[in-house]
Amino acid sequence: MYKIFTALLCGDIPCYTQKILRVMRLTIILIMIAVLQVSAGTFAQQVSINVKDAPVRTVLSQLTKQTGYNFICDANIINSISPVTIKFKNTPLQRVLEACFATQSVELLFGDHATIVIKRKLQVVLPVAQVISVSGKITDNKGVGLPGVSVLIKGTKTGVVSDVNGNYTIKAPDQRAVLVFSFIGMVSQEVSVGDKTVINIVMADTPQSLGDVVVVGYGTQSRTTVTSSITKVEGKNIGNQPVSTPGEALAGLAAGVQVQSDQGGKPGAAPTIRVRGVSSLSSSNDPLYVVDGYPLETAANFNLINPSDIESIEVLKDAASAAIYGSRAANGVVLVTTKRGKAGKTVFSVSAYTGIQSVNKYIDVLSKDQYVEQVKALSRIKNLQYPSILDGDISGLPDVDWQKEIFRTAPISSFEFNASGGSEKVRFSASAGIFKQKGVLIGTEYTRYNTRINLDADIVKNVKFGFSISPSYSEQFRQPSSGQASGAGANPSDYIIGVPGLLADLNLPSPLNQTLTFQPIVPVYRANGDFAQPYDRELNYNLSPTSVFSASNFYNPVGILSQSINRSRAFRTLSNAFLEYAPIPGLKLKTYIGATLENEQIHGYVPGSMAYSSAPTASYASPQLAGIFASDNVRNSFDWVWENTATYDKQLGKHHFNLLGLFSAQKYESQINYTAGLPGTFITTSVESPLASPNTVGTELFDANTFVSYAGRFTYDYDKKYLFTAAVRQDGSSRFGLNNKYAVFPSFSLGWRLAEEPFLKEPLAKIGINEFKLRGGYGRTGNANIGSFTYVNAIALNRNYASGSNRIFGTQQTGFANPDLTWEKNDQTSIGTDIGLLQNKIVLTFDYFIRNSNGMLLNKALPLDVGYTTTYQANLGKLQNKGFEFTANTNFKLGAVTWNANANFSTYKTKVLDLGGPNALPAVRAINGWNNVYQVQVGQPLGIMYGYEIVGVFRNAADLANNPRVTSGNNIGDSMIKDQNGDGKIDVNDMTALGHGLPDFTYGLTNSFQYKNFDLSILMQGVQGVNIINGNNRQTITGNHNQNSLSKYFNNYFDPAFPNRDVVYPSPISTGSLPGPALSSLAVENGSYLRVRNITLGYRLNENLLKKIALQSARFYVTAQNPFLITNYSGYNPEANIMGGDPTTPGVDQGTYPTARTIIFGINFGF
Amino acid sequence: MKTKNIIICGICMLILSVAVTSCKKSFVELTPKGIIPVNTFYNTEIDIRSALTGAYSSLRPIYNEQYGFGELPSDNSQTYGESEVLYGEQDKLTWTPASTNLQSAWGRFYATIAYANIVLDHVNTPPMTTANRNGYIGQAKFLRALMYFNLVRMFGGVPLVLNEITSEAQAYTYNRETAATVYAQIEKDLTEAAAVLPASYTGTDIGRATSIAANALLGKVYMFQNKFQQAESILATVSATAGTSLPYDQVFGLGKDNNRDIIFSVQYLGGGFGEGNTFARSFVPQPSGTTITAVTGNSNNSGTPDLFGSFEAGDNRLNTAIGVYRSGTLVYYYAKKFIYQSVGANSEGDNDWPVLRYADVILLYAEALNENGKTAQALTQLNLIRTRSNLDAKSGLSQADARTTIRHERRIELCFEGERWFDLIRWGTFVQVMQAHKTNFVPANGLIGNVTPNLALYPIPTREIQLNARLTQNPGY
Repeated sequence: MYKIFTALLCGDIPCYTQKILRVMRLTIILIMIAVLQVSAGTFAQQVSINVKDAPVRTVLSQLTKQTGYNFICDANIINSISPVTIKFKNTPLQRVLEACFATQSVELLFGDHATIVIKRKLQVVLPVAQVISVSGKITDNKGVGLPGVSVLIKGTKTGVVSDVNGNYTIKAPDQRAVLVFSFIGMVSQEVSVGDKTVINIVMADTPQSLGDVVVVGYGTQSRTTVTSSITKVEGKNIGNQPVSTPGEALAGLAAGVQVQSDQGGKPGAAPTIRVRGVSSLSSSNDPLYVVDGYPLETAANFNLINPSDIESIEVLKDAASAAIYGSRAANGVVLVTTKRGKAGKTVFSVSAYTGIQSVNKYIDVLSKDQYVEQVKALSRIKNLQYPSILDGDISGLPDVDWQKEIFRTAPISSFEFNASGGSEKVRFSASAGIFKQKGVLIGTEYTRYNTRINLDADIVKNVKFGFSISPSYSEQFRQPSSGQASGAGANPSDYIIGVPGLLADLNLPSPLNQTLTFQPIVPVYRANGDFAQPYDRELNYNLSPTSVFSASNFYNPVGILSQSINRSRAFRTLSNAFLEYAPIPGLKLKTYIGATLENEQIHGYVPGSMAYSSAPTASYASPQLAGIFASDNVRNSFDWVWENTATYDKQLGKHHFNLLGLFSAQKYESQINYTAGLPGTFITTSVESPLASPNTVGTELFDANTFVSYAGRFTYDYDKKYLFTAAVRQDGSSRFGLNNKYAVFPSFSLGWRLAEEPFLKEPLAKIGINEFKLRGGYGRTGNANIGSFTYVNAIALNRNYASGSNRIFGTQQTGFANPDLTWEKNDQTSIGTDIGLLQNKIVLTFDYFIRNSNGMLLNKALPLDVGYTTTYQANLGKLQNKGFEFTANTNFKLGAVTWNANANFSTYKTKVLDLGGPNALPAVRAINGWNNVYQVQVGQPLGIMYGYEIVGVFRNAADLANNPRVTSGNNIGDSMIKDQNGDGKIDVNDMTALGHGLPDFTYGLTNSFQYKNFDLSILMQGVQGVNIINGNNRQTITGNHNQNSLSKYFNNYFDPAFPNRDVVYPSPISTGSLPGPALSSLAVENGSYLRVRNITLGYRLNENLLKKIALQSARFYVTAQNPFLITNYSGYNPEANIMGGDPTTPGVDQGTYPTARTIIFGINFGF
Repeated sequence: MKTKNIIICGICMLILSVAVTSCKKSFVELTPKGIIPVNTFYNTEIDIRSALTGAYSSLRPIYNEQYGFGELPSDNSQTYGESEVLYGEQDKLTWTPASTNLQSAWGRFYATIAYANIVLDHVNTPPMTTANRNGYIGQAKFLRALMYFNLVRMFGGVPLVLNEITSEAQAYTYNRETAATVYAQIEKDLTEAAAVLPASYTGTDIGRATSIAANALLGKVYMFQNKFQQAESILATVSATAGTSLPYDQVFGLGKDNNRDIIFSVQYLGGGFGEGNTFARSFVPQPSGTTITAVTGNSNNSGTPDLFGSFEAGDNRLNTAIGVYRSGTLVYYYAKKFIYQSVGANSEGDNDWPVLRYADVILLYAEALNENGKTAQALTQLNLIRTRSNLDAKSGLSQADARTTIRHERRIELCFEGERWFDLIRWGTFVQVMQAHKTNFVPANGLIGNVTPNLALYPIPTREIQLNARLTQNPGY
């Protein structure tokens, strides 16, 4: 890009005499100066030159060869200067240049990127009839002075450039004059002079537009010539959100990128991120994360990045762009670029925020009086006893809202500082930060310490070196937050880890589900400070000395949350370094080495004082050794990658070529060591570790995989008008069967910029279109997330047997060898268009894709008479995703207000095409007890929820006689089910689709405004046309006489005493309503929502004030994260999904963590 | 310039290709750590021994659930509402081919068969003494026979898999054999096993299959085919090895593993290694919370009032066999013989599940004698059990009365042990007994389904029929 401005070309191209062109050039030159953050430095590099009567351009050309510097020179100077005769040996460049231009009054400016600007001193631009002298300072929105901004008097060629500090002075002809301020990468502004003599200007960054450079796989490319579907998210849109992981901040920012915070506000929990739907039923659907060129082994290492270290995120959505990452790119590629230093003055900044989070919604459950009334009613109907104390005066009984007991208003804070800068030779960016978040659910917490150093050095001519290291440490306290009160149906990630094969993971009751049904008449604490339990004798809620009223698996949730420990501590270091050598112009050879070290320790401990199923009577006063659970496990992993690339870039007339060759190797190894004390063998409560048991057990697990790849890419454009890219990658991996270790992933894409065609340029311009690009492509990508040694059959150890009380070591054969096991392959065809309107004030992007996943890895069922295994993994299935995406970016100036907006919309439809034989996979449950809800069926989309449609309640004999009944018979009070097939009876054939868990479409809208010193941004995001299974209903509306219920259940169930009551829910004694344990329509809710994710209002202090306190810039802001939510869903969080990323069971909520509403106050200081 | 370009490009390519070729082959071929590829195993006697132990270990999950198929359907035991989802269909005779319980059971039997087959396929490879090799072969054949016996009783004729299946295609080649063919294979395996197995073990081999176990099982297998002559002769040899009779309460419970009454049992080991039994978790009444054991149970395999009432007055087995727990108006007659109080919070019981007991053998022997017309001798055997249970000795009964008495004795002696349902089918009385039971007895949880003769066999699991179209379904499903 710079080349066209170099002295060489400036010399080669005939310098026209038309003034208009000169002005244009001058403007371009001035703009270039601005871009380069010019500072009048010294040019220390030594050169030797000996010429006689040589044109200046020849001299510059020689200097370029010697120094590597490009020269930007005003055409006027070049033309007017006479040939020079100079002779220097090992002389500083500056002296040589001065000698060169001795006859001219020129200024030499040094920019970064090895560019030197030669321009006339400002006085050469003579003001016309000078009348009014206007001066002022031009700053960016952080208040930092901007040098090199062009200030022109509109309609003339008179202009000046701001100085190093951003100050300018210009003579305006009269009061009607209009000043035009322009700077590349920023929004131009026009200001009337009027009677002002001081005009200070704040320049705002240009929003994302077609002119940007985007990061692509193994390189960068001008957005103008990109032919595939890539979405760029600016780092500032991520860094400004108070969230624990960068992934959460992506929600609503990019079309085609679906972010679901299925864990709500669980501190440190990463959301589920999907790019263009799902490609696999059994393997991971996570995209590949590439941080500064490093393909990460797991998404976890992405989520550990400090969000404010991120410069930009590019999402490669289609296969044409992603295929260069081959076998790991099937789910898209997320390229993360971190901030790097720029030459110039060192900039220090400090940022901090602090705030509070709270649950934005409580679910209505019964309070004491209604609860007691309901206990009596339900006990009467069910013919069960209830505690006699409830018959008396209940005014003295406790009335606890258990939700308020487990939730809290929790602090969140962040502090970080960074420094960046450097010389033209060495540049750096370094940052350190602390992030601390307590969860709104007591017992949950996340702390992260980050540091990062990015270093770039131009070692010698043509050789560049880069280095990054980013150690981080995080600590997360987890609590169970999924599944039902007993703990059944919880997400295994909530378990306290045991020892595989030796000690089962501990699954504690889910407090979130339990609080909805916990009796309000049970106090939180006993008089002695211990946690009260519903079966405590002194509460008088027992039925008899041996019979408890409470459900036997209900334990005080506050007791569990405040005592159980499930803590993860992770120390991770990502580092990489590269060496780049450019032997000849256009050719770059680069070698890149990266390494990731991870150490994660997970500590689980349940103290003897905690009452739960293993120690029901435990309390602080009488701890139970039998209840102690202690485990520790440590995972160590090391991953390295070595990549060698060669790129060659060549412009031949209007033909532009770019070639890339790649070789890459990567290896991952990990080891996990598990240790735990055997429950029941602990001998002390005072040591919180497996050491407290003389009987510890342990084991270890290993993992390893390797990848070796070769790739090539060819990019071509003709006059930036006809665009073509083709790439191919071959991957080999240890993960695949012996017969299929290698696979090839080709791709190509085409583009045509219609607005560059002479015959279309005019007509399009008339309707305001300045850019119109059509593009399309095809590519194949793979999914290698299939586990490391899936293809082997092996001997499993520790399948032991006893002889009396002796353990005898045994083994069993497991697995079923599949030497043909290979990648899941995705074939994606994508077409799109980019349209720029009103000089890119509005940029529209449309994309349509068809993505076919072939050879999906499925567990193929084996006849059970094989014996030692029931399934094996084979490449069988086909799945299709079709989708559409739309993005609009606008960038307007409305008076003093700068307004930028980004709107995006995406939708996709899935369809199962093949399952390798069977028409359907076995149906799976939504939650414990609601079986056969989801089933993957050929011809159907994923995520359909099957169950029975409830149409009412059998209220009398006539209802029973006149309506279809379940085959085993119905009673009065049962739910009435719709007879879907009209055969007069209700059976499994009457199950129907009650909803779908994948949305019809998702959308996001970001608006940012700038007015004087104020900035405001609002991010909204929504999901439409989706259902959620409210699994809490299984406990909260089922009429258990000893548990609380939702308020809407109160007197809304069939009661034989009031048969005519108009009710929704069946009789509490109804058991045979459904033909088996299944989902009913009563639990399927509309999960559409519109969420205001983020509102940030900032104020930048005036500079005059800042000078007094020696600051460069200062900004104060307040942010509200998730302040508003519009939804009909009755649970805490419409994004909830118990099983996280499982594509076959989307949209299930049962005891999942709520989303927090966060309000923070923050400051940014620059020094 | 041009040539320089070419040279540099050439060098680059060279460096790349050298780098590539030097590590290409081995780099993507990793050997997994922590697991042993099958092709490097079964090469030593230790490997064979551990594979055989692994086969035994697969018995544990089978007999954790055996009550569900051998006892729950019968008039002996039942489920309560809270365990409806687990085994309600077995209790109420409403199982279907889609039943996951049946599918799991089918899979578990074939898993043990596969482990036994693998031992038999590989046992001749490594060097070892003939005695040891014969011992391993005998044990593997015993296990395989035991599994086919369970399968043939539950499903009738089933596919006979007698070698390891190594390819998917091979898995689809099996037909259902006739029940007679399966029984013939069982008899063959047991006869061969009995010929090579020792009569007893010492040390840590105690608990393994003996020649007595093989003969006892063979006798039972004959009984199930009504081959009373063969049964009588083989059971006579087995009952001759029985010691003095052991009181009932010394047969069950913690620390009573491998007692004199046990011919073959599944060895469970408590202690939190996942190697204990789940009897407490399954059988303890749920409303009892943790008052009976530290485990909250699922109220399965609870005795019916009918069973409770069938104990004769003074029978000292009642208190050992059945515990009574009341919750509101409900009474739970839980299977106390399999539960001891100190079962830990990790739900793992240490006590064993008896597969073959001398009491069982003696009652079978009595039955065989009676069917062969030797009623007096039969009563002598019967009285061994009765007198040890503090009941009066029987004498002078007709063959039919003796039959009734022996059958009743089996019901009481072996209650909850997974024998009753198969016995009712074997005797051909299950329709009549269950019809009466359905009429006289209101179960705790819903009505018993229609009692039809087709219930004598469980259905072949849908999954298996769908995968292997050669398999035919049993009548009535």
